[in-house]
Amino acid sequence: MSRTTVPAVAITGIGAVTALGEDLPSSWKRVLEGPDGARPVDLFETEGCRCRSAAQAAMPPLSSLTSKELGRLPRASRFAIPAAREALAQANLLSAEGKVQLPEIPLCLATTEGGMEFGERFLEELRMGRSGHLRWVGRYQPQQQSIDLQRYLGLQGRSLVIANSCSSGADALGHAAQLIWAGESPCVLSGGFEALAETVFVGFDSLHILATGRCAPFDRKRTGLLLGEGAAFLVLESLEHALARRAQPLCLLSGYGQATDRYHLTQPSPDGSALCRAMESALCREGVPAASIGYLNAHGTGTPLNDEAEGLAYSRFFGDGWQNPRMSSTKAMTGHALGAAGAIEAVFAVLALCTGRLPPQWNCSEPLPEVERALVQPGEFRPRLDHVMSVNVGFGGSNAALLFSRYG
Amino acid sequence: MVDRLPLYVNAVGAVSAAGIGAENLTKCCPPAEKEMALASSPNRSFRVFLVDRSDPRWNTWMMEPRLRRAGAMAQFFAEAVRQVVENVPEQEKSRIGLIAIFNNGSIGHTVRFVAGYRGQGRRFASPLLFPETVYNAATSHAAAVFGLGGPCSTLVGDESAWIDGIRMARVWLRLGHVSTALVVAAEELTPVTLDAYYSARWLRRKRPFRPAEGSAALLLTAHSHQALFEVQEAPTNLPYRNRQELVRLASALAADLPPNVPAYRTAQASWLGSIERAALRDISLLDPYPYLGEAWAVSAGWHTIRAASLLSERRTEILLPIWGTTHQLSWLQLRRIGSTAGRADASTASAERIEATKTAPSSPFHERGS
Repeated sequence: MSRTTVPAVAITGIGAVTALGEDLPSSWKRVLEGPDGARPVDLFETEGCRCRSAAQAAMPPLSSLTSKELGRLPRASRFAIPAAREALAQANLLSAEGKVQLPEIPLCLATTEGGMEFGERFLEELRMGRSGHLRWVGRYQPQQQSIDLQRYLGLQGRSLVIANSCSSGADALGHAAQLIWAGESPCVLSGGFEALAETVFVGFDSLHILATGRCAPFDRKRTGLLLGEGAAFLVLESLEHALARRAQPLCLLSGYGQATDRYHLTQPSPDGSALCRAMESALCREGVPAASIGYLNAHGTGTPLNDEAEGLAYSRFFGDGWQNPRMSSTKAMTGHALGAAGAIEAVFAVLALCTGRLPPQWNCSEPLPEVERALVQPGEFRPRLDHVMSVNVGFGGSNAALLFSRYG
Repeated sequence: MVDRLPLYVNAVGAVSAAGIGAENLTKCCPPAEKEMALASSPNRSFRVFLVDRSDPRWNTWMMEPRLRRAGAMAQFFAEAVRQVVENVPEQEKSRIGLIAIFNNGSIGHTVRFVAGYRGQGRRFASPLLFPETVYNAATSHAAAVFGLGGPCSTLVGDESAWIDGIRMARVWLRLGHVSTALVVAAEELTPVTLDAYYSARWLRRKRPFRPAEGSAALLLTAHSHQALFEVQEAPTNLPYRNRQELVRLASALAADLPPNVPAYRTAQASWLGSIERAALRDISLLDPYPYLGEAWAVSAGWHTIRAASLLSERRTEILLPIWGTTHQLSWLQLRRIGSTAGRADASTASAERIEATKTAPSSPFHERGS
């Protein structure tokens, strides 16, 4: 395929539900101003865990659904549906009845655990010596959120679900862009969703990587990550398609890079080489120089190993003592929403590009030397940003980088 | 829309109850059924198709350092990958992309992890088990073990995810991100999985439905050179919400099918069988091989390999409907290399090539004489 025939990919709608707010404006306000979303977990028992806090989100209202329908929805779907609706509404693709106006558009989704709470209930029934109830196991299937989104938004197109652990959200957006670049579809609804579940919480706790105090990405005294939950969605379409229906592009998704780190199942390679390859790949599609990136939403989990490797990768990629791009990890506020993280952070990167307001790096009083000059301070504003990047790294060595560019 | 890139299958791999290696999929004798008890009721058992895990060849993967804590599913996955990449030169592996497809994932580890922390307390949850429960753990292990350097992605879903994987491979190849794409599905069967099928009322003594486990793999390229067959996936998958909607979609699909192209039956034993029979009643149906059981996308992979083995000079195309058990309907069209309907330039008959894989098993286990 010749480069000239590859369509530009426009972002025409964004939406999010996070622990900071039930919609994108409220989440964005708290990312900029604080406070963080950490609170004691009350969704499930945490007795015995070293960490007992997470960025647990409030459940957004879904007034169009009956209480019976709401009772059947996995928690992840309760986040995904309003976030997708918000994105579709901004893209002017939502009818007054809350249904999508282009029902054939495909879904490209991301999660790591889907409706895990239903699987846990099923296992608990078996453990108690009872026959498992279909309701629990039926809604545990990994494609359940696709089914729920299709049902409640009136979508009739195909869907796929990517489960690349913590980079899933970025990979779903990247693959959605690939579908448009390759001419497979002119418009894709893409996003990630995740709900806190006991098994995953206990799993992370067992690895001793949950924060024992505040989550402090890139701080020398960081102790670990804060688990989070939520969802974020973006409407991606070819620029031609967007303009033909008079949609207003927010920006362009101009690059996506993915690289696999084969070093270890749960630990990043200390030299951060795979992350550098992912960023390089995202830039090379449009030939954007690294120096043109104005803001970088880092993965920055707050774990000792991740932040060290990530900081090293950035200083290799942007040069020793780098100050630009300006950088922050919004996980200090939202927590780490695993499969949704890449999509939530991509939405924040898009807002930074569109508004010039940069999410500060909270909770970092003693920064790592590799990143200390680049960290965004509260109140920073850049009147004109041309490109921003969002990166994610996950278990299994998944590394993903998304490049967003100014439109117009 | 742009013209769709032709996609060619250069190698196939499989693990099933019929044996290790794709050549076993086309055996005429049915594999032995085994009994598996429900986790909730050890006195109640059902017939299933299990991989023979007592086969000493599995020791290879048990002793592989990266897989030492992994479960059966990751081993099935690794074995299928080995079968398709064994003849790929080392330098080419750096540009192979890996697309993995699961439904249940590593359910055995998940069950053990949950039982561990619920039985002994959360403080004693196993940090060794938890990472292996993550969907993309097997994908990561395979990339590391075989030195695959291209992008890796893990998809989850029902049988239709097999089509999503092939579509993703096409996109990667079209955009030049990889030189070759490896699509692999794997599943393992546990008593808890059996309970899940039981609660869905899919298990009945008199019904032919049998849960299964194993893996299937295709090595895909954009070049017909040395290809076994050509594959083209449906432009879209069709999601359904209930049986009524599925019947309507299946009828619409059947009406649009190309005339005179036979279809390979894929839903004989599931609740979708009657819908398949009704929808394809006017089409010549192929169904020559013994039943291997149901294992989500793995089954779709086995059907792909089996159907391709039926391509010949007289039967240059075969349609393969993929009935997603819970979500989406889709299909594949398989073409013989060099057929008039195809776009390939290679002259070697695909059936002969697949036949060759039957007589010369690709497994190095054979070479070792173990």
